[in-house]
Amino acid sequence: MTNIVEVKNLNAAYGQSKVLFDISLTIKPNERVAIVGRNGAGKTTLLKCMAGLLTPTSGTVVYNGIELGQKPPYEIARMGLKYIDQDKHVFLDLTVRENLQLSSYATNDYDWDKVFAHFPKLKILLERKGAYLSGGERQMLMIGRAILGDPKVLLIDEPTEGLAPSIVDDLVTTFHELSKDCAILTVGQNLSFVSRVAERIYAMKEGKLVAEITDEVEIKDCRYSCYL
Amino acid sequence: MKRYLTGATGIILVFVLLYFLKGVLPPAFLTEVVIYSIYAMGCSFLIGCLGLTSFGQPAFLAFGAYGAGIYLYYFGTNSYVAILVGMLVSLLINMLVGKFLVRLSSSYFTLCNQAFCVVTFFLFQKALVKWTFGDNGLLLISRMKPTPIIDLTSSKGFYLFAFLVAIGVWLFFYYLTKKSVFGATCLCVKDNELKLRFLGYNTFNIKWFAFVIANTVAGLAGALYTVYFCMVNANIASVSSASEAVAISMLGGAGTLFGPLVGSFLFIGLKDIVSQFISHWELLVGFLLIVVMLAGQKGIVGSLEEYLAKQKSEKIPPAPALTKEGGL
Repeated sequence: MTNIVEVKNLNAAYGQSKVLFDISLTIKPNERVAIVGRNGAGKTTLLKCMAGLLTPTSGTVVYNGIELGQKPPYEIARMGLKYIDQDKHVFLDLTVRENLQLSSYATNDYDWDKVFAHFPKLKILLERKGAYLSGGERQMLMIGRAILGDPKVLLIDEPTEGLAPSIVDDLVTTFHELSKDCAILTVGQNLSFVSRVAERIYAMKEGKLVAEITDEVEIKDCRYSCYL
Repeated sequence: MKRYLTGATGIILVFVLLYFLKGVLPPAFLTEVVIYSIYAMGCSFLIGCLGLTSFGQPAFLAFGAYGAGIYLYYFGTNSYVAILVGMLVSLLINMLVGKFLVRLSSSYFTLCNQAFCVVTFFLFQKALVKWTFGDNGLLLISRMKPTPIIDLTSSKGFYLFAFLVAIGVWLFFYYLTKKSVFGATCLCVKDNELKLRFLGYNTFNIKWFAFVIANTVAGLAGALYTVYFCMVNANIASVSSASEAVAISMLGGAGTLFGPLVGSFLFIGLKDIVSQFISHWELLVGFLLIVVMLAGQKGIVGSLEEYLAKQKSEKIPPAPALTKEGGL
């Protein structure tokens, strides 16, 4: 199967400080991939490079056969590669409905049924302002917004951060359902979550990918933790 | 639709009431309030909806004013056309300048706008003195001829016209900020610009468009100012008045619909009344601004709206319990 995303020899730096070293990875359509690593390993930086928020010093990101080069983030998002960052920030002054409308308008996709199919709770929260949503509800809204426009890849940064264990359980199911329509690349430190979600895992350490784990048993048993 | 009608009706009602205050307050004062409120509307929109504070508003006011003034002095006699020319000149300048200024954020945007104001003042006072007559300005009273439908050369006619323009501006901003996706995107730029880009929006274009709209409205106020006072001089772009639009916006409530109107009413009122007793009337405006900001930070209208929203939300029953099937 052709890869939907191919990252080749990617290097990135913040000013003089080099953060990513020769990163190469691939994602297949509808695949659930995770990147694990400690704080400061460069996981978020990698996602930012892929989403166009940070210009790599060298290397390429190819999405759906197109090299992203220095395309701005909004163009990359419109192409179907959506980034959901870790701060769980929705537009606080807007209601859930308005938040979804904003995404619909950008993508010209007004089919909210697929959003409600994944997150029925959002339907009863439509008139609630973003400021009054819980962490889990915000995460739902962020993913809901992102899946409008039928993206082919979702880049989700630390999806479980600050969420209660029961909500994390629901998120596992949601990720499995979402991957029927698109590929997911998630990064995080919650190994039990990653083990339940990912089909393939990249371990990252000090800006380098140190291992690729594909074995189901290794993933289930969190044996990859030895690489961190 | 109901909300829209309520909002539109509310706007018309407020201005009709204000119009008939001419029996109580001097029409000249009310006309000035209306022109100032149109001027402050753009600034209020920039601060309240985009989080961009501009200390360069006199420059944008001046382009509209000089656009109208130069047309009336050199080319024609129709005040309607002069106002249109003023707006067009302002629009073109804003489109050009905006391309550079909106690349900046926070303090840099504020200061570069002020720098642009200094440049504009110099331009009209010194560089183009041959055409603008610098501080003496362009005197237009003998150049303006009565206009059809509403005679803008008569104070009564201009008073009515200014109110009609204000209603138009308010309805436009009401639709823009409360009813359009563009208004929502502006609020989102203020809230979290980066997040909006993740959704697929070109935020540069949003800021640029908002900048052009806000400052073209300031240009419209400038053109009205020229036609009303039948003159325009370089002092209109003076950097010393750069804080006026910001102060009016903050006093009334930046980003609120009626904030600029309330702010202008207070500002012009204090200027006219207090200046009869003390020469430094700005002192009182300064103190008032500090008190209003300390009390609510959202200006008079903003604080009032917040209070009413709080009262309303206390009466609303809590949302229905959310079931497990809701997910997450």
